[in-house]
Amino acid sequence: MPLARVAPSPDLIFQSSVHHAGHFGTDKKPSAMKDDEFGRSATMVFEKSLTAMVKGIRAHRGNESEYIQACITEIQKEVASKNMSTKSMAVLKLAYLTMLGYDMAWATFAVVEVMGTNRFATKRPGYLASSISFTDQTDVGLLTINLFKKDFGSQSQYESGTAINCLSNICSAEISRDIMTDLLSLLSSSRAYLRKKTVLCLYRIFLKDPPALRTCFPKLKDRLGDEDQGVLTATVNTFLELARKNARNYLSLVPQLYHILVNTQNNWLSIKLLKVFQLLSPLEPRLPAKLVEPLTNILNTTKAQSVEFEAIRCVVRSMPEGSAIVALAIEKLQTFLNSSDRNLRFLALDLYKEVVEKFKEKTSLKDLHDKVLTSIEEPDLTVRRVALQLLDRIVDPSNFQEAVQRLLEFSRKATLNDEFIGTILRMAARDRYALVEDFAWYLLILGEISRNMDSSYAATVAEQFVDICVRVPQVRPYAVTLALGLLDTPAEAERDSISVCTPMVAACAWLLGEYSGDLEKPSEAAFLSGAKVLLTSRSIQALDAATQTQCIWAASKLYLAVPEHAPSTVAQLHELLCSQLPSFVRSTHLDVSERARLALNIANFYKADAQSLQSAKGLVAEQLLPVKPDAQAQVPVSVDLDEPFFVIEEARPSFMPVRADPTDPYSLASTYKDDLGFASEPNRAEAPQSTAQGVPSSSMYYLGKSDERAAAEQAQEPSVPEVKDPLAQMRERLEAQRNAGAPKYQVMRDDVTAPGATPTPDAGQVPSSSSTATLPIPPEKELTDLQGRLWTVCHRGEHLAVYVCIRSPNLRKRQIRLELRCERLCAPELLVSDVALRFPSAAHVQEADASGRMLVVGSLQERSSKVKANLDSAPFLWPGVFDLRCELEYLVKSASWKPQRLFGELPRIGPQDGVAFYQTASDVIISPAVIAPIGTPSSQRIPTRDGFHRG
Amino acid sequence: MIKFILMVNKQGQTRLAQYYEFLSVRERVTLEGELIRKCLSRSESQCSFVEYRDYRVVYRRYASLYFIVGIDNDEDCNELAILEFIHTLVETLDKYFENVCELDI
Repeated sequence: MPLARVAPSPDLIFQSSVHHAGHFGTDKKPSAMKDDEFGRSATMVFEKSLTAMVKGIRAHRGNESEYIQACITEIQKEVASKNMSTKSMAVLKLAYLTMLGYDMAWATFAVVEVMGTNRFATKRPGYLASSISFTDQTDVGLLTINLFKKDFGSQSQYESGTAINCLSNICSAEISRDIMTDLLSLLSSSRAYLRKKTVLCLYRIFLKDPPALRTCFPKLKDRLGDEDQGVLTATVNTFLELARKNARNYLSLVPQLYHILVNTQNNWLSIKLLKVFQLLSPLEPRLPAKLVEPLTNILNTTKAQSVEFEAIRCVVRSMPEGSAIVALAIEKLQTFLNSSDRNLRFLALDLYKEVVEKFKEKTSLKDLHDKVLTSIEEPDLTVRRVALQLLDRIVDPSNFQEAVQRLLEFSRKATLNDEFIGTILRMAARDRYALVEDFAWYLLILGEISRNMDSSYAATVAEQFVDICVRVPQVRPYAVTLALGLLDTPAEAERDSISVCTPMVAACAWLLGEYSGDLEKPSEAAFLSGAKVLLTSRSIQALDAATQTQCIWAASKLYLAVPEHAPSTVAQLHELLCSQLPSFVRSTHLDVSERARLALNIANFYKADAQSLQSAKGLVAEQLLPVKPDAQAQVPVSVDLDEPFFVIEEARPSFMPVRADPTDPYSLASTYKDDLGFASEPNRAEAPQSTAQGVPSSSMYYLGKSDERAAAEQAQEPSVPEVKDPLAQMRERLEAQRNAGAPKYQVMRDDVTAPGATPTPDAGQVPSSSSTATLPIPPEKELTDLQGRLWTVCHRGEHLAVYVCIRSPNLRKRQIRLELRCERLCAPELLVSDVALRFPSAAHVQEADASGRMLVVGSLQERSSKVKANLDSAPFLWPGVFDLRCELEYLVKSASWKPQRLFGELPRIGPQDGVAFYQTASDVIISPAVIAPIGTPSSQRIPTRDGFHRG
Repeated sequence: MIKFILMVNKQGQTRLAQYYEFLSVRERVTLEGELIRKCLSRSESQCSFVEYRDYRVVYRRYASLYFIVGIDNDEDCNELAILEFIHTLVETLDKYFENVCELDI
């Protein structure tokens, strides 16, 4: 007998309900008919099963929401029905709709009703719906407690099981407290099915109600001795999840767990146990020794690879370095790595990352190195990424070159090659190029990478290129020649799009300008060709503004740095600048135009005179050093920008225009005219000068000759016989250099810090980018403990913080108890001592004397102990929040400090022997909220002055 | 811990989804869409572990059906055990339906 008939569409049902209500009613379910009168049974006609509703939703493709709204209206009626099976079906449908995203919070009471029915079939939808829809805020949740209690005692284990399942989903701390005893009795139920479910349910309850763990622990521990495998696995699983939260609490379980590990044959259980032991063994030093035997046993005997892998992982994580079992585990890991199964290879690589990190001795790394390099070639991206990460960790200077060569080869083959290049750059940059031995070679590699136009690492490559040249003076001659080579790409090559990427152009230009002194002697030709490339290359003007600016300035630096004995080069360079720069001056980019104008003016000023150019050397003489990224922040601020630089004098009336009204258009007009007259003067002076230079191409309207000249130069270019790839040339040169005995490279690994800055502790150290550096864990815990108990910070200053905790007021004694604590915030070399808190005069504090309440006598360590202060509550007997403005006074001492630098601007300073100061802080605000007892005191008692403020 | 289990056919339709933590419907749809595309695009020769958002995903293909299991990434679950779990799941279904196929699900 179907629960309801399937109706094709809601419209049809409506019609039929109007016209054939009586007719339909006759073949209705008899049970429904018995209870209800005719009218109500007519509404029963709407009833349709879940399947029918789902089919209906599918039938209304496109306007599901309308159909669902109609269904919800039906359900609302059905939920009100007295027939429990109707109600149950309505709830089931609602549960389905909830999963589609419709709200069912309005039906929670009906859900509870359905949960309370006697038949399992009607009860189950209720449990399902409640576990889907109830939240901690659902107020009817508490009504379910008795239902759970009843069902726990049910004859059918499935009823109890469903109840337990539902409880695990909707449990809150309140429900847990009421139901715990019943649930615990189920732990010793005779049915394994229920024991298992209860154990798992308990975990969910502990998450919601942690104190319950304490009461349940002994009984839960007993379950570790359960003879049923399912219960045992569930218990171990529960303990594993609990141990992830805080493993230390479960050390007492070790004997039982060990016993199970030795005796079990169950793979899943073994894996879970091994995971528990991974968590426990760092906490108990004796445990690893005990585990050696069973782990060796598992490694040698188990057939299951998952267990074997977990055992290896356990060994890697918990065993000390150098033991026999570690060697065994690594051997097993090797076989994984060489296996044909791709999953095993991936896992082995992944685990090797941990091995390499933990065991520093590089056992069999040579093998690993080759293996990793082959796995990099795998088509699988996941494997490749892990392999690259691993490679990152295992390279050392001896095999770095080989690894980079291989990566480059792969990157040429692969379509997505950014990962390879990223790895190369990351490896090289680690610890300030610690891996790189031959910098000339590495620069060449960078040059090759930069040929790859669409790499997202282009900017990083350029950055490293410059950075290395700045840090390694010995490589500069090679680098400058390389930069020139990279820029001076032959015309054919440009067409083959093997020219370098834009950031690299900028980097090369900068190098060429900055280190022109390192160009090979005789360097005149190189100067000339460098400047020519920078200014005349066709592609330069198509690049972005920043790069063009770099090129222009690099060219003018070349001009400025020409050696004295080469007057002809000076003349040629001057000629080049004067002819090429005007086209940059006309650039649409303001930056480019401005920089070109500056360069042009410099060139015009010094002319082609090598002698006068000597005086310009100062412009570029100072060498640039690597600067620490935060150097700017370390510069002490000496100028307050908010303060006016000059005292603004009152304008004297004699200078004022006759009509000083600023809104008067006529007076404004007169000023404009003056300004214009003044500004036009230099223009007039400049104009003949520019024509006097006789460079017609500098005119904005001149079109002809500069093009001709450019064309002439282009015509010259092909006549150069060299069409060799500059990189190939540089490669040859590198070989030659190596044969001749490579130069010793010294890397300036230190950064320049700001002059006069206070040295930070890490200044001058190499910030290590490798993951071996561990940060100390800040001792936050105790503090958060404090804040949890309503401790609030009432003052946080440069040297210390004050915490206050306001205890409940003692109305009988008319007192408010405050508890106060200090915490030092400053560096340990500063001695903070004798901290006192001075309350406002109207607040009567019993413990305080004239100098206030002493919080710390003597020097303040990390944190002071609690200090009580009983505040007279009489002024506060009024509902509201009051602010108590107090003053804090303490002594700061330091043996090494000069007084005027640190405390120059603090309000109250009394030097003692030149090294100690009292410092006061007046922003300490304590806010006790006091609710007055019955009978409001008169308002006169609220002091509004003397430091009290009503909030 | 396992966060979700999906059963997806080769056309990319989700046949069965079970989540063990709350995700809104929209989040689920996007998650399923992206993940399925990612898994389906992988070939047989690639390994069956994928990292996706905060999940480590283990998947396995049986005939036209993909079984996809999402696990917490930070806890290290045993991926091989999950693969075995998937297999157990399939065997259970097979036993229940007697020679299970996609239509049973």
